Amino acid sequence: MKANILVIEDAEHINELVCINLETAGYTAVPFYDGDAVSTHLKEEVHYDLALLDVMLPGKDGFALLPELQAKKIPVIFLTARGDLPSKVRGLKDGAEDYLVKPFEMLELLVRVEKVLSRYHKEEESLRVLDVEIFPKERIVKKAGVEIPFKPMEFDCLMLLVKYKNIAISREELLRSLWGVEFEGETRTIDVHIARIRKKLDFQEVIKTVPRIGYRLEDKL
Amino acid sequence: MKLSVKISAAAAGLLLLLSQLFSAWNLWETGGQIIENTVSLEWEKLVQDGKEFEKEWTEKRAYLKNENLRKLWAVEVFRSICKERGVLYYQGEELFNATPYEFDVKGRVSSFGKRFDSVTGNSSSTQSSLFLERMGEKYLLIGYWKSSNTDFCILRYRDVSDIYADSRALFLHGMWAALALVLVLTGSIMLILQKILKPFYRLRDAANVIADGNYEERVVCMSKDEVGEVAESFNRMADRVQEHVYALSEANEKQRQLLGALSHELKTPMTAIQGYAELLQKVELLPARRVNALAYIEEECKRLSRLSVKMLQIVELSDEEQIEKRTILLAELFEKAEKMTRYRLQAKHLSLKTEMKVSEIEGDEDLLLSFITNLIDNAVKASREGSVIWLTAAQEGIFVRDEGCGIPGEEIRRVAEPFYMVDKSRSRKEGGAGLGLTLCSQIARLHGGTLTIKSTPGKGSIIGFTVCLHSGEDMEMAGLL
Repeated sequence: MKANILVIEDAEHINELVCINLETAGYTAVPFYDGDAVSTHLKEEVHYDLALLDVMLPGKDGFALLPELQAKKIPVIFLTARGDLPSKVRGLKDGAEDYLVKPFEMLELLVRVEKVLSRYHKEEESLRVLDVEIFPKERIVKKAGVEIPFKPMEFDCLMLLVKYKNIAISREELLRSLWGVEFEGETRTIDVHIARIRKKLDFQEVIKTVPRIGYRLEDKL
Repeated sequence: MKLSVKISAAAAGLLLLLSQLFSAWNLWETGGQIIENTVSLEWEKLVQDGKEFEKEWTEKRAYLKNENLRKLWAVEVFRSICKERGVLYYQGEELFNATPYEFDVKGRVSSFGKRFDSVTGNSSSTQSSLFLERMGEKYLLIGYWKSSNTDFCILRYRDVSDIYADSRALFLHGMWAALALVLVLTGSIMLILQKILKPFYRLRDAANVIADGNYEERVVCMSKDEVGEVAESFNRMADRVQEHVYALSEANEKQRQLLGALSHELKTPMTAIQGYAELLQKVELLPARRVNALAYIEEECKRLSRLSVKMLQIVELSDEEQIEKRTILLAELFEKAEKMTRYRLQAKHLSLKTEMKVSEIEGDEDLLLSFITNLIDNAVKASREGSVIWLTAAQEGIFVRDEGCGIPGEEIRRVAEPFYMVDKSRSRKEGGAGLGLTLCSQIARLHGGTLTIKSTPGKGSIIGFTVCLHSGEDMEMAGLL
């Protein structure tokens, strides 16, 4: 089930950027460019799983829209250029789930979106890529129904690639996510893990090497 | 050490020294006088007694043939006259000594020197003399009188210890009195100084208050003396400091706001550039989207460069106070402006009409050109396709008029603020940075005028600068609209 996400941001380029990011990660993004339009839209019978909300908007601003979104039980992540503490505190106190300051990185946006969504929905039982099925709770990987043994680190690595499929993840990002923030390991370690995953799942063509960046698990939508 | 203590100490010390010197001299003189009196009294008595002895002894001498009897008689007479306090000498030999002391006066010169010459008269002839002998704790005044007619000499002493003790006591007394006086003086000088210095303390406190950041503090000092002058100067200084501090903090606040606005304004293009670049790197985009992303990046980069150029101009201009003014032919200026804006005008099928009531203007050509093109840019953005923009020069200044959407009344005051945009998303779409009118108002200021904005929403705006101090109504701007 694809999550429905409202993107409320007046700068068209950025709105489009966020939408592309979300769509690439497999969500459905609905763009809105001003506060009043959102307000009117919310009066209809609509369902959204999350809203990315800019603070400074033409018409109703982000802080004014927040209660309306909350009334519809839509969790909100603020997306704003205002990085000052008072704004952050106000946004979070008023009930926003998270606060993302521009400029932001793609992975940061997606991780935060995923965290908020997972807080509101139970995690999916299984993820599927081509003929491979992954069960995050049981930590089992099945290819064509046959279980394939995975080492913990390999499993985590695969999970990351699958979760953010179609988006290249840099070796540094993988290192940081798998070994922790301060890990000073060789990025070659990642290459070794990826090679093992590819071999085990016959994913040579599915996990692409992106020059100078890292790896991308491609699963055309 | 405090100033008051220093002055008091110095004054008291000096007074102490002077008073001690004076009283010492005074007491010395008094003591001397007492001794002198005593000495002359004693001498007179001695001479008188001597004369009496001489007389009595001489009267009976004739009846006494025997030398020994004469001597006895002499002793008798001497005892009756001089009682216990004398020694009688005869022909240089001690004949009778009623005193408990032994004296040796032969050949001794008066220890008072010439001081008592007046008292003893021309005593050199009688070889009389006066001595002061110190015997242990006692001072003895010894008078030695030589009879001129007989071979007798009389020595008499008087215990003057009391007198000496008295004079010393007097001296000490005087010293104590002087000391007490000095203490009293020191105290009173300190009190007086404290009163005199009080305004200084007030000045000090006020200065401390100001130093702590309360720049409104002033000293109240009514006195017309030097302290009053200092207080007045102090207040004047405080006034100036307050002015400067307020001006500085105001400028600082403005700068802070500008910086805040700038960084906020930078964030939008930065987010777009960074985001699209990342997208291009990490995601296999459809060809159409990739082209779009690249176009966005280019567009945002251009916006950033425009922003930086304008910011730089504003910063440069805000530093400047004076510009070099030259006479500029308006026809040339307008032609240049038209050339520079032609492309933008044509893109929206707008026509620019110029009107010159004067032929030349005083000012900086580059700045005025920037002023006009900025205003025309704004007019282009506001205008509907196919409408007309007027560029007017009159005695009052230069104005650009359009028939565009106009500015809502409550926004007019704010449009010249840096980064203020009436319609943010539309302005951005048109590539505006929100700095055009800020720049224009600075240029107007440098030309000694003010930026004037008149606008009716939906009908159009007229923006320009007035050179003279005419109010808006005088310019007949309403008529122009």
